[in-house]
Amino acid sequence: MFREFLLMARGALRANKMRSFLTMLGIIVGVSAVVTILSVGQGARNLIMEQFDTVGTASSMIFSRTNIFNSSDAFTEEDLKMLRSRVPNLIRVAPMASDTAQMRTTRGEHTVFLFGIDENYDRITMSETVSGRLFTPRDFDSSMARIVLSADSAARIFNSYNVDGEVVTLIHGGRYLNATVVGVSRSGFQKTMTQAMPEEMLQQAAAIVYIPLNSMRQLLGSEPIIISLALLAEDVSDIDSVNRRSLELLHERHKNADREPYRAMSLTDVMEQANTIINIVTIFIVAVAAISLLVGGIGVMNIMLVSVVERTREIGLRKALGATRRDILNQFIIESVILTTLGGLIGAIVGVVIANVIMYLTGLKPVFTPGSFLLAVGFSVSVGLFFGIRPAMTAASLNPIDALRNE
Amino acid sequence: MMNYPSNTTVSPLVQLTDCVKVYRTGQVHLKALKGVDLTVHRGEMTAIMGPSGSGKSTLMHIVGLLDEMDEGQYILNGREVQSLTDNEQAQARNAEIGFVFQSFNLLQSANLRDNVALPLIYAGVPVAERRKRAEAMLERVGLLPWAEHRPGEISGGQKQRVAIARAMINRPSLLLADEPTGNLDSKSGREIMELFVELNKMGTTVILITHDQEIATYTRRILMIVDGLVVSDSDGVNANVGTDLSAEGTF
Ligand SMILES: Nc1ncnc2c1ncn2[C@@H]1O[C@H](COP(=O)(O)OP(=O)(O)O)[C@@H](O)[C@H]1O
Ligand SMILES: [Mg+2]
Repeated sequence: MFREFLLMARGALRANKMRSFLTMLGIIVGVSAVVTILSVGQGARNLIMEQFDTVGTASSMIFSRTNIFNSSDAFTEEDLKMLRSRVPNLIRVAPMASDTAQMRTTRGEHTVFLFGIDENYDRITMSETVSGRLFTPRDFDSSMARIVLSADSAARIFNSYNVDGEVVTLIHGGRYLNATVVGVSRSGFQKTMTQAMPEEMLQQAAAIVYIPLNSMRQLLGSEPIIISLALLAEDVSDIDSVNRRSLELLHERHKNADREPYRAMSLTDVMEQANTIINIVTIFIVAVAAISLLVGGIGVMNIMLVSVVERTREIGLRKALGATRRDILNQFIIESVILTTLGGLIGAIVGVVIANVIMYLTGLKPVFTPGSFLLAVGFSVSVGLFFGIRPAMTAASLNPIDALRNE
Repeated sequence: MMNYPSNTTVSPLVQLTDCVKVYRTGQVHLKALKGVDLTVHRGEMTAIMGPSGSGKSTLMHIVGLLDEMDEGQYILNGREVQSLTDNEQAQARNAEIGFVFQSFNLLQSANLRDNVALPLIYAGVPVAERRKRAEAMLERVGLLPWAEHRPGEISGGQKQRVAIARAMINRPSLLLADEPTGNLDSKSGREIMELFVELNKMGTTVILITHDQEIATYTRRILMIVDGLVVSDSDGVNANVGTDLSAEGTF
């Protein structure tokens, strides 16, 4: 019997192709929106996860909320020594000094953001070599200045990653320092953590230049100001305690516990924040899509009601020939469920295509989420059921002869 | 194989007593049947005649379980109709009654074979058998070569033959026809009447409504209805008001 109803529904929907399609449109739009946003959201989440993987999950950063330049809040070598000796489960601490400078290259002069680091930095942040090489221990002691550019900066200034060997001149406060570019690196840590950097500094800078602290000292002619500390805990589970203990000790040493200028930020925090944003956006769009599905469902109900009126004679005839109420009910419900399910399937496919296009354009890796696919299609089946019942009941309750008499 | 129950020889197929039907449209109450008695035995062929608006169709709809009456008793094939559930009535329409309409009532979107097979869907007959039986019925009415065609492609007489094939496909014991020749030319009308006579000879009980005196000659029994009452019955037993044939002058 079910087969017969399917065939009847196919016939009815074919008889009115354009109308069937327009009726499905609401469902198609709603479902494709849901599928798109869920898989793009998943792609974004995966991207964060990947960064997280390359960085190592147990790292975190401590920075100050106050303007650290010319302030007693700035971190010192003594802070590093203290943390190394007094914070349990802390494997490594790296100072990150920063300042801005002018960089003169074959391609012109740019304001750059200097990132003064020591040999611990790469071990904590697991920077990835894009071209050339990262720093070796010798670079940190050498009197020859060597620098590493971030991938973005290299691309922006030189239009290329293959810039090792380039000689540049760094200028700061009337002092000059020639430096050789040894490589280009990319660091998920840096990318993620710059969110926590002083805004005004990043804004001016066209590029991020990694430079050994020693060379930076040489350029500045004074002690570089350490604006943040990178920490590596033994295990992810230790991050919180390491951060808490480090903050305590730092506030104590700098006698600024009353102001609590320091903040710790772990990658897990960053991830959670990003996830929260993705979730809010997802929920919002899914809600919009649900409304569109609802409107689509009302459209289906409307068309089914029209269809019942148009086909009153057919209904009367079927009843005269022996169709029961339930037969008529099933026929019309199946018709509306097929309408919405077809819309749901088309919408899901359209959604997957749109998601892939978006991910292709944004460079996210495409993610196919069978869950969202099933959810969307399942939802459209329910919409068909829910909004199909009313018209189907109208059809089923028609008196055979009244229906037949209808002209 | 006929669907006759075991008590076929005893009780009449149709036994309608004191049937009253009132149409209510808004304030207006129209008494279309005012107490009609009708008994039809198996194998009979009966013509119902009467002026337009006299209640013939109304009576036919009640006999065919397409409409409900307001008063009276109806026993179809030994079963009290009022006591049947909705589903049982649908089942009876499907298995015991074949209905032929003046306006054919074929599904325009389906081919002739599917139109003929329609009642078998609701009888739960598998698709292969439905096809086979529909084709056999189409062959009997001489339209097998048209099986794949749509109703729009054939003539009125052919349409009515398709409708008769459809009415007969589930081997009903009672075939009802409401002015089956009303939309046909006289030649097609005659052919259709011959088909009814043939079906009747093979055992189907036939009741048909007609305006046409000539058509009525095909039947052994003629029932005359005027203004919601049976005024004459050539059988003699069913007349409410003796054999007053004065109404005959109207057509
Ligand atoms: N659905 C209906 N609603 C109201 N009045 C009806 C309806 N059907 C028929 N009638 C009226 O009932 C009377 C009998 O109609 P009908 O049985 O169709 O007559 P016939 O078939 O003999 O021409 C007529 O007066 C007709 O107008
Ligand atoms: Mg009539």
